[in-house]
Amino acid sequence: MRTLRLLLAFVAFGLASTASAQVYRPDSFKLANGLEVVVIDNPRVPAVSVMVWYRAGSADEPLGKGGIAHFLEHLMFKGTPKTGPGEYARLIAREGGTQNAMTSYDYTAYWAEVASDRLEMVLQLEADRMINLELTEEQVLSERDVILAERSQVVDNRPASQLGEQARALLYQHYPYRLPVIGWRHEIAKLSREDALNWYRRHYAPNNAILVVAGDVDVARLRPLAEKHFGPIPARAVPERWRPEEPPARAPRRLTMKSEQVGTPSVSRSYQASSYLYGDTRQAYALQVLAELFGRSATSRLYRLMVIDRPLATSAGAYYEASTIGPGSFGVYASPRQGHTVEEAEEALDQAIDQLLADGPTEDEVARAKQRLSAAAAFALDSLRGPAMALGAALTIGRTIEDVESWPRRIEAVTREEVLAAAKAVLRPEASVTSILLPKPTS
Amino acid sequence: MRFALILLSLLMALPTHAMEVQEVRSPSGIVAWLVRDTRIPVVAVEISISGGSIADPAGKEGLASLAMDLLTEGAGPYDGQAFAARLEDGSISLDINAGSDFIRGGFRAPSANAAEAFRLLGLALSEPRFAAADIERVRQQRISGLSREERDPRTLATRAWYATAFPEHPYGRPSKGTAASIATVTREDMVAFVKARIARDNLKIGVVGDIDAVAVARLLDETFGLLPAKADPAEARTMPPAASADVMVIERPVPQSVVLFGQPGLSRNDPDFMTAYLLNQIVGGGGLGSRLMTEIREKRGLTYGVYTYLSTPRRSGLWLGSVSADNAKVAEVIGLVREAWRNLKENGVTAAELDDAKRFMTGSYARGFATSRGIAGALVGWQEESLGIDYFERRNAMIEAITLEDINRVAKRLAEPNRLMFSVVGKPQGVTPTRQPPARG
Repeated sequence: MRTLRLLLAFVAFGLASTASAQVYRPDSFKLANGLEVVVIDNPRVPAVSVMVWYRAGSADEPLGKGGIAHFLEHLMFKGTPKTGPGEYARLIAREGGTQNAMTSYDYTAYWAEVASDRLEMVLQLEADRMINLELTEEQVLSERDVILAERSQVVDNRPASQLGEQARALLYQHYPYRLPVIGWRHEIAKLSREDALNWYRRHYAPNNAILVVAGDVDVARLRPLAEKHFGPIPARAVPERWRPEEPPARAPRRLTMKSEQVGTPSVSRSYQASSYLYGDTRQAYALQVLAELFGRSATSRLYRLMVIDRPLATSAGAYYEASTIGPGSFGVYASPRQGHTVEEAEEALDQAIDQLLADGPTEDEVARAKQRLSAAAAFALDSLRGPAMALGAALTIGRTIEDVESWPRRIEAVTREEVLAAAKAVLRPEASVTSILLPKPTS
Repeated sequence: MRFALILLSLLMALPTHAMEVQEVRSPSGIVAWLVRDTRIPVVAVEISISGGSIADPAGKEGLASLAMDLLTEGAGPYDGQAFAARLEDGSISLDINAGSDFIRGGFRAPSANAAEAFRLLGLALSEPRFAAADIERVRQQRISGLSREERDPRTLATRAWYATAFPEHPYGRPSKGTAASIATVTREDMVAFVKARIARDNLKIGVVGDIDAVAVARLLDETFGLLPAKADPAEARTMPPAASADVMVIERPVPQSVVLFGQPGLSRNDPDFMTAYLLNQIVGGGGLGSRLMTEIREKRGLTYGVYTYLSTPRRSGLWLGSVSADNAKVAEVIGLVREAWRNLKENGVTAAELDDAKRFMTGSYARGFATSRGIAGALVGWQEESLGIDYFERRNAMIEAITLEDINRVAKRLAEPNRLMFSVVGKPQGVTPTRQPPARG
């Protein structure tokens, strides 16, 4: 549970999940206390996915309290006066449901999937823990150990994760995305019950949350249940989200790490980029097309140039992350083939980038990439949780339902010139961090 | 066109929702199970071919899986890039992979492109190119992947456990091979493997989505009709894992130790299998509420996660678990796992635990059918295990019928603290190894 999904999930949701005229065809309404509610009627199985999203993520944390958003996410399962410690998970499981939660830079979200006739039970539990969380000192300290173990497991045991964490700390010079969602070990170790409750009181309120229900459900059924359980929770003043702006980037940055745990060398480079909500936001669509044609498939440029035509790499690709309040990131990566060096791989990446910036993509590359991206909309409803994830993530960072639903049209409207212009704006060495991961002979 | 259509209407015991599984037989006699669902414009297919890496000759470990990776790297009139482009332009995700007992493959496609997806699957199975450059590229990719995996603590722990539990048996050897074994696999090996294994009598098929039985029957013949009629036998002996009450330690400089533990389990067709499944749910299968999660995570904060599962390879049965804990704490964690095993053997489970587990397992079943590929996979799984076309309908009743007496009898039968074997990778403190890990192959 509490899987911390660092949603580096490249364009994950927005992208893999959208449709031609419309994508998810959601309905929405708002309660008097400010709670936004989104409904996606998708009755493939007699079940619902219920998600509660809070507009509070690690990038909203006060300095020195790194990891508190994620810590509270864990503690939200500890109970209320009505629901004893551990009861939340047990009650959901007894009804055949599963549940979990996740924390990212811009949000914290809780989800449960149950048979649709158990919808009300989940709403009741979620509404209860929105205002009535109870925490004992003992629970908090024991859960802090769990989080330290989680950090060991997902970061400290994995050289690639450690290097990624260091690279982010350099990619963003001022923006809080430079800090890991889970927090630095030394700061996690000092987080207290009081810190958790302060965070909870500050950010957890109906007017700072979005309820998304997808599956075998419609507005007529959901609205009275939402009114009944969330309606009585009073709105509270929540702090306005404030985020700094990045200063201009002036120098390329490089890191090299060697580890006995690394088997194959690799190089990756990330560039700060505009996102859906930061910088030149129109570029967000062109950059998705760019990532697709440059390195997100087996016929993409990087794969063709480096893995097929002049085979010096075993993998090569690109990614772009657009779904963030702050700056997004665009990245390229490669791993050299036996008999080739990481320097050769980096050189080949550089050449491919230079060629792209000189000549731009071809019309055919752009057309194929757009077609591939927008056709994925056919699969938008082939999942219970997927649609709830996509809409929740979008709305929590400040996008609209219309933004999500118009995604295929926005992608189809991208031109070759826009892709080239976006590439030129983003692929600047001074805005980049290059990370090299190398094997170290066992001592 | 003539085709026989056997309809078995299976209704989920849930209001307004039905999942009807039809058996479709093509004119030439190829059978598929179909769930038609016209609500979204998607078609998914899953196939299963019995016999995977268990047939790899000693020294050529990884042959089956390398061959399967290459099927989608060029086939029929298309070289690798042309084949990939057809998939991408049709928004078709197609894959074929070798496990130890079965080859699994399939696709998901927009229903408008379903015929094209079937055609490409058929080409991959019956006319793979195995071009020299593609073989070398995929071989290099595999070697690169293996060199990553061979340093991953979890992979190391798993390999050591299996190599110890299955000496002189294919299950004890790495199904993806080693750098050395992969280097010896030739084009002829792979061509021969495909010819021997991929045949009509060896094939199970599941189809889901916006497609009707008439179209499926026609596509079955077009897709699979050119395959040979009969596969060569792929035999391996049945063998329970040779697990002992030992601890193996592989030292690695990481802050957290990764542990794989396990003992003999039950085969999938054992009459106690479902009961054991419930038992596992209680011990370590159910996320937060399980006994192990409660003792090790919730009460003591010693781990981020601990879980157990029943593994049922065709020729064996295992009850396995996994946990990670910081090096200083892993000895305590191992002690708690052993304690849980002894407790289970001596005291069994409570009526409340059984009730919770039954409610979870019956209530969650339908939710597993929320994606097209997931349903297609289930259709093929039921065929692999000969569970019957009405399994979906019967399954929950089988669970409901399990009594406290049943489960406590199975707890005594199954739990074997004296055969619970641990494989630890890291720098564990206070853990005394009692057995050498096997030499690396």
